[in-house]
Amino acid sequence: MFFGKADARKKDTGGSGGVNMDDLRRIFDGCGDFSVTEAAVGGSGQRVYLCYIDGLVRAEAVDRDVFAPLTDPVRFRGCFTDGDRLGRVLSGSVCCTPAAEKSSPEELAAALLQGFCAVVFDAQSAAVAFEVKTDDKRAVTEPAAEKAVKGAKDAFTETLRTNTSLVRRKLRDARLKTAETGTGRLSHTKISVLYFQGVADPGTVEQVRRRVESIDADAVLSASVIEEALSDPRRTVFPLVMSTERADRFSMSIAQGRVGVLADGLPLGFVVPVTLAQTLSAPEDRAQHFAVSAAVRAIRYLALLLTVLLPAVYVAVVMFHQEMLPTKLMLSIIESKRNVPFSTAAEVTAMLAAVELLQEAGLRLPEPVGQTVSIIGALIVGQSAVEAKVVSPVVVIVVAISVVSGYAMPNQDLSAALRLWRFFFALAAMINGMFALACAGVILIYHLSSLESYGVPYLSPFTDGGAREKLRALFRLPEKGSRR
Amino acid sequence: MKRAAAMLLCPALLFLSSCRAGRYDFRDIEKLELIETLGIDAAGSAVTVTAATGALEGERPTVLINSAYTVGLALRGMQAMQEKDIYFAHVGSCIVGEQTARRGLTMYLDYIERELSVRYSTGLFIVRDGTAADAVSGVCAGGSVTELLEAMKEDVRMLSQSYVYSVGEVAGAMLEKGCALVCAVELREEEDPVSGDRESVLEPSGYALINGDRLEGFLDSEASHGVNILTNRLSMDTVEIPDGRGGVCALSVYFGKTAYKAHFNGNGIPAVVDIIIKLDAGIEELHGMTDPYDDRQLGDIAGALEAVERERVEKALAAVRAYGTDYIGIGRAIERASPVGFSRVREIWPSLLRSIKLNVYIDTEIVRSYDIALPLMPDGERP
Repeated sequence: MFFGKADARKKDTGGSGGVNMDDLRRIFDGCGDFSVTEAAVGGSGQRVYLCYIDGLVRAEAVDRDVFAPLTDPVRFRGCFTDGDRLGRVLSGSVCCTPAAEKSSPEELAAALLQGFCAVVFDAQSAAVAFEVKTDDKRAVTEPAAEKAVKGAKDAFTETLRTNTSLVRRKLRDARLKTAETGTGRLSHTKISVLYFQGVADPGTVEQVRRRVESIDADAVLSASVIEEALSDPRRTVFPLVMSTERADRFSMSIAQGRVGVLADGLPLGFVVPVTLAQTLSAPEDRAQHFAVSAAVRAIRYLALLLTVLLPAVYVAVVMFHQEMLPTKLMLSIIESKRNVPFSTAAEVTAMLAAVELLQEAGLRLPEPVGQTVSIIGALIVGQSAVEAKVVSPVVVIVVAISVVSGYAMPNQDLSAALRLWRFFFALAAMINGMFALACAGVILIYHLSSLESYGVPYLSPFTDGGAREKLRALFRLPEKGSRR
Repeated sequence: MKRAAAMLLCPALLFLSSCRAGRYDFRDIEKLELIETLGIDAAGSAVTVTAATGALEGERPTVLINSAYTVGLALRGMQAMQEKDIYFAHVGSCIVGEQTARRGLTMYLDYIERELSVRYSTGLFIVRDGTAADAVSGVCAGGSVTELLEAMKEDVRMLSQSYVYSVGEVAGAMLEKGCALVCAVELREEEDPVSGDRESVLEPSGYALINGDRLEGFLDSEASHGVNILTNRLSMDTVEIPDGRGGVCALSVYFGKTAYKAHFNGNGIPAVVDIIIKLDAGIEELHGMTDPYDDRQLGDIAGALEAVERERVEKALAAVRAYGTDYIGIGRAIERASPVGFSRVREIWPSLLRSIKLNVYIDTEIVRSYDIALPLMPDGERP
């Protein structure tokens, strides 16, 4: 293990004077799932204690691979003292699973919490741990949020080792390194840093390691803990870490020289560094004909502009710059706004808020209920509101196009960031039309230009790349042309 | 530090932008009275402006009339006449009465050119034998003058009537050539075929000729067709001609191109101008013709078309020569081809135009002709 912090922790707790049941019972006092069974080693009078956390171990493996061999006199033939029997157990020739001696109660407790079963030789103040982790884990399934039509269907699960194996199966090369550490004062979550040696920038790898080690949290149970450790969320709402549930996307990023992070308990992979262009590319781009992908990617850039700007431009034009509208369109808008009691600003703000509300409600509810809420919401906010002359149909169309354009973003974090900026732009447009909108645009471009992800400009390659790189970011070129 | 300064600067810019624009005065779109047609009539030293909106669904257009010493003042005075904010940025058509046009257009065009909210692309019309107020009010009594004029702009492309020049185009022509063509309209009473009611309508009535900034005269419909050909404004036109065998043939003239070539005499003065016209047409309807593939019959039809178009062109040229004003822009075309040669006669060009020899060459071609009685070939074409 290369993490210095973990080594230090080991040194702190190691060699504290052996292990006994009293210490262990004190540690697990009040833990109903802490199971202790007394046994006689090899049918002799030597008493040992078989300890494990119920639910974290396979019961039949404990019985078959630990308990049965431990009580079988045949396996201890030739052992005449308690020390002999302890030595045989430690040598690994009794039980079928790998054995590791634990020298302190804390170390043993940590092993038990990782799914080990311990045999405590109370009289000798010694303990041996056997790995009998349970196989209960969620199967690899299709990604829920990042659907693939023509791509790989395996998504990350909550089990770290399953996730690393998914990556290994796609990148069968020994240069793929998986450096692991544990973090979280209470959760002791295992975190793995994955990178391609010789391809990834060593400085970035080192920085990611440092950031992961410096996670200061009681429990690492949510993606935000990792994301906030890998980036500085106070600087921006734009994603400086790409999270994905798709193993193929994660693997592709690693192969391109990026550094990935996987955490036990989280069905997501995190990748750095990230650029805006990368968040706008989808794994599906490489599964389709390059011309189709190029067109789709161009539409995504258009969608990005629409989702941020459309409500704001509508507000600016309708409230301040009516001369910009073609006459027939203006007449249509006037017609649609007849008898609507609210101002354009109020209408757009209310519609944007209503859509966010519906989206949030649909997200939190079970899928069938969520769908119902969405449909009823769409009917109420859309059709009924228009019929009741609460909002004009044009506003519904504008907000709907804007929201749907947001869904075209391949990265949900980017989509969420754009939702916030959409409000900001709309507000600016309400203050002073196109002039304020232009100022808001300058602020956004300034903000994006100032962002970096692990030393890589966020707007790269648009700000620092050559013409070919820019073209490659905007459109997918044929595979031969897009090779690095 | 820099970031903090930038963050402070950005909101400041946001508000300063308002100062630059000089307004926070947003207008709710539904509270705007969208004026789409303006009518201008001079009355003594004052001017009477008639403004009409378009017709929203189920409503009649609003017509406002106000007089003042200037157009701007008259328009502003209309604000007091109704509740909504009057909005002129979508004025699509401007009608000027004949007498007003005879007194000069500069004052009114100047207003439209200087007023930021009114567009250069506003179509300009002159009412023949009438006033703009009568035209706007009369049409709006039974319908929408805006819709009528908008439809007229579209119809010009299909019927090859008078092209509707915009305010910008007219002002530009007056500056460059000292003369301009303006679409002329005429107010007529006609009976509604459905209701039987009599209602006023505006119909295209050739071109109004503006010399300097004053109306000089009008061209009739046939001469206007000739002007369209000579100014390369010919769009789709349907011409009915006798086929020489007792029947009538309808031809669709869908392409026309006119070129000018000057021949200079020994003194470097243009002596002769060749006007070379190429027209392509297709047969739309046949009544009496026996063989649409017979070259002789097609030749007869092409010849008849040429005669019709020649008459129109000659009429237009005669009018131009009579007025001594180069409305068509023959001088500009010669200047483009021979700038040095034309510079010698630029000053005397209007008088030269009256006497210079103009040779008109018209090449007509019937490029499409099918006999629907014949079966289709395997490739889908007719033989």
